[in-house]
Amino acid sequence: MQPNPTSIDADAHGRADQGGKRGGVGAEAGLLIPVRSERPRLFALAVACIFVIVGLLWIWGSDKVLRWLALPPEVAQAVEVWKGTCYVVVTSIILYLLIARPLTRLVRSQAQAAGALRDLDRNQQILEQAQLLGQIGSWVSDPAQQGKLEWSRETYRIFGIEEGGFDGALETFFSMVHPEDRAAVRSASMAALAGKAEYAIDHRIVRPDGGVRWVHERARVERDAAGVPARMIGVCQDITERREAEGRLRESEQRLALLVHQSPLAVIVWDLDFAVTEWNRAAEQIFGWSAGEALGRQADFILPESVKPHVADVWAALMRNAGGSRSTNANVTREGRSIYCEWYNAPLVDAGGRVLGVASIVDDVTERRMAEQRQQRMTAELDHRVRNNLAAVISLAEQSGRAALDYAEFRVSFLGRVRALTRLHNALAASRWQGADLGTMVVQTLEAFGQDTTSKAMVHGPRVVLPARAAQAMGMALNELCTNAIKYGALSVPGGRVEVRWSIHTPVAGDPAAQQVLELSWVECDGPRVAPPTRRGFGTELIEGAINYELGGSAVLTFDPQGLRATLRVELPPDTELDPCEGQRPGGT
Amino acid sequence: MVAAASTELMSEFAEPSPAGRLAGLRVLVVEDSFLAAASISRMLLDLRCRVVGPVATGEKALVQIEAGACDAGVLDINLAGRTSEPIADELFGRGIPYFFVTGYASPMLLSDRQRGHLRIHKPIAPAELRDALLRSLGAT
Repeated sequence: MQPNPTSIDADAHGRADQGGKRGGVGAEAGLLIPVRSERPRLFALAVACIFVIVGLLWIWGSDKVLRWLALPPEVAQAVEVWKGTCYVVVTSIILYLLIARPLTRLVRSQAQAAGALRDLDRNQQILEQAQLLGQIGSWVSDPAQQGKLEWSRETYRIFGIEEGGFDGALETFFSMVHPEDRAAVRSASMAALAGKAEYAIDHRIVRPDGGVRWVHERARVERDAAGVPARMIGVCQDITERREAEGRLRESEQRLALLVHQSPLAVIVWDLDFAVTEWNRAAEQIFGWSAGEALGRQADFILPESVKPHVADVWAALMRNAGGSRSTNANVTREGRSIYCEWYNAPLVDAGGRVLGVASIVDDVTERRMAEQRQQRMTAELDHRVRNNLAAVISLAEQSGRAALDYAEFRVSFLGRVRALTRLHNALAASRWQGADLGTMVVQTLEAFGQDTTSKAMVHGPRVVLPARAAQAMGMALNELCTNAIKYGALSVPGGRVEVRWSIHTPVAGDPAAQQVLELSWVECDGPRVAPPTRRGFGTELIEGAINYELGGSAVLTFDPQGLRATLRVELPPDTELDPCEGQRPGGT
Repeated sequence: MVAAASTELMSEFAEPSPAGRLAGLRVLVVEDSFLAAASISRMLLDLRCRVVGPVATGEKALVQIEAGACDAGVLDINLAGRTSEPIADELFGRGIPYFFVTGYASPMLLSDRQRGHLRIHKPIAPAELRDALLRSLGAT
């Protein structure tokens, strides 16, 4: 079909032209309309010619024909009268036979053309609406005219220019492209024309009001039979809002990624096969496996055998979307170290309720758990000590009561022993049960019986910190010696004196493995004359019980008439704290 | 309550005089605290038992057991940082009745094998000791 819009009536012609300007869509539609433009004039000429020819034939030929027919005069006269009428009838018949069908066809084709124009108009409107709704403009570039551009109405709107306010020159277009994107747009269009690449590019444009918009452009190059570009048809979409939304999304994704990356808690994501798909820096630190090593691996690599059944249950619950949100269990690090972790798990569920994977946040609670266990042990230990102390106090009451002659004696001995226990407890608690210094213990025991007592004592020995058990036993023994001295011995008279000395011996010289022995001597002098006891008192029993029974040492009491001598020997536990330099402690300091 | 429990126990054993059953019984006392040992020993003497020991260490206890010197055992669980479990195992192996005395409220330190065994808590009352002794005798 040949493009030939000239035969279309003035109105249609104008519209078609306008459409052509807007990107050739209208022109394209015009080509479809089948109109033979010269027909009406030819018809008019043909009708006139037929009238003239038939009229002349009639004028010249009718008399001859009548004569030749030699009709009777009456008939010839009648014919003469009806000749004009006959002429009209005959001419009409001939004309009808000649022009009726072409005329009908002509009228029908005119009606079709009008209908096509109406459709064209409608399509044009739909196209414009579609371009407006989609914010997609279209354009056509003609390489034959230095790439002269024709824009659709929406393209004008996108560029922020009044319709018709663009001269179509390629350079004018490039001046509207953002300076930073110009080179890219230019090279993309060159590449497309050269057939090297599809023209598809996102770039910025600057509107006359200075507003910057992002547009997405795609175009196709149409070529003639020789492959020379005939025209370039393109679309142009305003994607500013989308770009901004994408930018915001990217920003928020980056923030989230940063949060996950820098979180002190491990963030791990699992797929449906229980394999790692996400492993953050904290996870690397807690488990010792780098993200590269962990990604794609199944959970087994951080699970000790003992917790696998438990974890399998948790996983099954998560897959059913039925809990498993929290689990505290043992894990194992890359170095094989056993750690304790608190897991907060959430199934990742799509809009349809299908589980896609599991996200876990993990806290290493090994320290906390150890502290809790320590706490439990300490509470149990405290309970144990209280019970043992109560048992000791009850036993002291029983034994003291059995040994005492009367209530007054019981009261003094029992309370003295309970106070000794209290004193030892205080000294040990102050050192957090690490031990008690022997010298301090001796001095405090003497002090408990008053200033008078301490001034009569001489205390001498190296620094020894006895562990709790040894300190308690030694303290109780010292209390008994002191009590006895006050009641019956050197400390019961004004001039009496007591010397307390101790030293450390290594039984096998040169053997570092041999246990060291503490030897403490308690010597009384200038007191009343001593007579050996007539019966074994509970005090003696207590001293031997503490030293011999509990510490496996030996306590020897010698009832010398000049004064009581006691020698206490115990093996020092290996953890005893010793001071190599000997110190001297005069009594009363 | 203790009295009621002990009455019940007496009827269970259906013996006219449980104290008679305890008379002359040689009871090994293993206890690292002298005061606690003295207290338990005194209670056993009051029950007319014969006290073997008391001893403060596992080694000394095993010597007594191997000598066949005891008919029953009273064992403190914690002996200066070690447990009396080896002694318990030895007594169990010989079919000698025994029970534990402990300051710990919860079962600690013991393995599963001994954890369920009869145990009384410090400080102990004479009736508790007597009942525990009778129960351990009844169990063999």
